[in-house]
Amino acid sequence: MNRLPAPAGTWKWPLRLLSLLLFASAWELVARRVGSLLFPSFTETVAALGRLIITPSLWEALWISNQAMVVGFALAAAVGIPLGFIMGRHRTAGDFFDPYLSILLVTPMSALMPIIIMATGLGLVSRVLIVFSFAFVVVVVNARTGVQTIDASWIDMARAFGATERQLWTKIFLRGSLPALLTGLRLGVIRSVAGMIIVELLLIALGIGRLIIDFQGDFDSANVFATVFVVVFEAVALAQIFRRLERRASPWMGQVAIE
Amino acid sequence: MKTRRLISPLLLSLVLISCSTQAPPTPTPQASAPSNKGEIRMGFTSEADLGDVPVLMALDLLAQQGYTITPTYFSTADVAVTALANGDMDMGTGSTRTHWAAISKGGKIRTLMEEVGIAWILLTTPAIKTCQDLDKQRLALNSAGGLSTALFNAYVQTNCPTAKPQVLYIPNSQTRLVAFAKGEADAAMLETSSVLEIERDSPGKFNRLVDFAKELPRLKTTAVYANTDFAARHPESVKDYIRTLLGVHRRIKENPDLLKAAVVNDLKFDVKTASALSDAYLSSNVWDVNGGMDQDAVAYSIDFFTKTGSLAPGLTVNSVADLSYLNGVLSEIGRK
Repeated sequence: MNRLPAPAGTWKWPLRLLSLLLFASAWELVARRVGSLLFPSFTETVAALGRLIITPSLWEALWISNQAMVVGFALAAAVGIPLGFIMGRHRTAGDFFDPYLSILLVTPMSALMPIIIMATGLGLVSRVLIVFSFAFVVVVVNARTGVQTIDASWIDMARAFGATERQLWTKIFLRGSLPALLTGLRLGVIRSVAGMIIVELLLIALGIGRLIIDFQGDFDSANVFATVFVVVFEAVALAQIFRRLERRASPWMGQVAIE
Repeated sequence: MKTRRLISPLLLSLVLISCSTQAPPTPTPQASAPSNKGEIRMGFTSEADLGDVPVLMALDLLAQQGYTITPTYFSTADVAVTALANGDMDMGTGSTRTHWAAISKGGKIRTLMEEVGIAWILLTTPAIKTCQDLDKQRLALNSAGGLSTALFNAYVQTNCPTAKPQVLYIPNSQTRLVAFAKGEADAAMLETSSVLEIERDSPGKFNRLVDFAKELPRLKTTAVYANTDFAARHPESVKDYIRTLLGVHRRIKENPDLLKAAVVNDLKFDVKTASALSDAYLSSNVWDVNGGMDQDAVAYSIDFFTKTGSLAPGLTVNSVADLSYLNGVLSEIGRK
């Protein structure tokens, strides 16, 4: 008997729950078998997470940590987007800034900490600077790619109809690069969250970083994992917000794909 | 993880020569390489410093005795301690507070003897002359539950309980040193080697408010440890280790040049710095010639960490330490 295939969306959530169940079971079994001080079981972690989210110290820590994240990411976007556009539009600018971006991408932050302290101290500025350095490169690169990957025929067509440089930017470049730009911002916000934690682990223990260090010092691995989960959840939630913005801001991408 | 080379054979021969002047070796009928006595996997944290040099010297001697020594340097103390607790390492060194915290969570570790006495100093700007002067000043500490914080809290509770400094937790010791030197903090808890470094670079610029070696002489802050399963399987290896380490402690006290040579060779300091550091440590008697640990000292230390909130209550001397190996060795070689 012929059956119509079930719509794909029907299976999405059952599959996700199944994979989560398998992952949790495997984690629980391995943790119990290994019995390491630094590797809690799934159930221990969930219990710790339940206790942690109702304690004020977690929310105070998130408030402190996210100050640097928000400001650093906003700066990375404010500086990175225009720079990326300029690099994408003008090859000379791209060639000039490329090496510096590569250096920023590969340099390990721990090696830079003493330099950052000497330059900016231990306050919010140094934390913002490090978050900025984490997010800035991906924002720039994606903004540049967004401009560079615009179909050249659109530009030729616009010029043929007498478009000025300003009109090229407002009608072609900005709209055409929007998907890549939003992808860059999505990746940038994820890296900002990572930078926010790393600076608090390596430079000055505040906020979430301090919670992690304190729990590590007491070998309270369940709370370490629970705290990390909170951070991961924040990063995923922020990424999802930008993904929805991508879909809303560039609905034609789906249509183009079908065409 | 990275592996650190052991002390050079030249230094080792100096130690052996020094040993031979004390007790001429007994001729043996066979002149052959020592038999393989087994492996000792030794864990260190990446921030090993002058305090660890006698341990490194002892490991070289153990290698000459026929042991295969496999040192491993870990990125953080908690990873090193976990490796020891899990049996991935056989022996280790480091903070008593950290190891005892692991034991309270079920870690299979026991303390064998003291590694090095307290080497922490509260360094301040010249304006801070008394404990009360710390009120509202910026103070750089390691972490909320760390050893240096426990020392500082005990000092303030005793001397100026109303003082409330602004605490900056800076986990990395080098970052903490740079921050203090730059003026980002008015006071900092620093290890003796860091204090000597900063005073050498900026003489007369800072004030040693508290030397915790003098403030809390009975407190045991670093020690040598063994995985309990390893110790049960290889008690003679544990005793050989203790015996050799005590021998090094006694030799460097009698002949400080041995230590200075080791500091130059292993830590790559210049001769002048090595000499200053070695003299500072030796004058404080940080390497006890009798192991530096007994039941009372361990009990005092547990009580100290519990009262300062660094350790959860419930630990006992027998749960954190096994001094039978040290006492056995001391009964063989005698106390000095």
